[in-house]
Amino acid sequence: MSTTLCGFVGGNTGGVLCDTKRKTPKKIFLGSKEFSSSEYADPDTLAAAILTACNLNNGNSAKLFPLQEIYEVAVTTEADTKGKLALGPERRLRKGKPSYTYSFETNLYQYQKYLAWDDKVVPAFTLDSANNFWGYRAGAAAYTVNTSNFKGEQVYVTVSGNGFEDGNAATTGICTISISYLSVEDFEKRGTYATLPATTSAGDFNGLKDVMLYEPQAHASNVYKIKMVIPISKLASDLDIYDDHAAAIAAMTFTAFTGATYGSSLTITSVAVDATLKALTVTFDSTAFTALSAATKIKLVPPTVATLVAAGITGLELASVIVVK
Amino acid sequence: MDQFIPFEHVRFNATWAATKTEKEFVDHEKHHGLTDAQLKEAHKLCKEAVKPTKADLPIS
Repeated sequence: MSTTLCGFVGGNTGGVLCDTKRKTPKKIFLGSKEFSSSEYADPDTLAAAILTACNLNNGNSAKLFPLQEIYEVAVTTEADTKGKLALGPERRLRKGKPSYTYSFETNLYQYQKYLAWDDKVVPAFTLDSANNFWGYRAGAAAYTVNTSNFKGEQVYVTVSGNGFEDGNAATTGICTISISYLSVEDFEKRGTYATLPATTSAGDFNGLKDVMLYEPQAHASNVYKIKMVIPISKLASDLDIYDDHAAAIAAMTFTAFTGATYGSSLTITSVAVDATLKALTVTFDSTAFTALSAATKIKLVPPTVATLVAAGITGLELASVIVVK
Repeated sequence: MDQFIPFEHVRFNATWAATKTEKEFVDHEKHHGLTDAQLKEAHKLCKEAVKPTKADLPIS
């Protein structure tokens, strides 16, 4: 019988050949997507699952929001908090929380989109320069062999910068996004990664642009004209997607709903392109439309991102629009 | 889920159209700039698109 517990402190310290470590971050993915073991079973499957998650509609809890490619990394991890009694020894009282500040060359439109994430706490994955995709083992079964759910760590996000350049230093006028990890434990003890295919590029995963639907002119009956534009920061320059995509989008399924929670379906009898207005013509069933009270709100739901992507229209999300009778 | 079919520059709700008479359909969709003959053709195609096939019919 030993007289100490020293044999039970710590554990074996052997390393594994060809294991990796966190390399230089290339891209951050925000969002609460949780990958199951079948989704990260192999690099190609994981890459496909990430792309699918990026191409979901806003509001879907399985969606990921990729930021741009990172141009500079600053390690802003907190220093450990240390202290000692008068006669020492110095002890670490608290580990510093990991934090990184990333720099991006960002135009105004995209910067304003990033601001939606400013001062928020969200899960984040990190793709590094070695094509490793970093997150943590989530859930109570965190250490179950090869079946752990894989999730982004909770981080505090701040978005800053993008002011005028000074004409002197390249670091002026850039967008900076700080990612501060809330839990050292999740980052260190539960930190994990999966490898993407060697041919994967950070540029394979891009954020979507919001397309706004609106009525360019008042409707006189159950026939509505709907334009589709990307509202950008430059005045009088909203981007009309009609020429590029209207015909394909008109061939997809739109749905419409009324009621206090938009739970009642309103039949759409046809969708057509209007080349003169460069808009869609959406026709509701006249009988059902006539039965609606004046000023009834109608929610017109366009095709999903996944439907657009399946038809070869990438990088866009059409927003639902509320029109009034 | 309603079934839609493309005709010229319009995508018609065939499920809805199949419940309408030819006249009702033509009157309802005349604003698309199609001729009456084209609309009648579209209505016919809609009805054919949602007509149950033998496989859809219940076995008696």
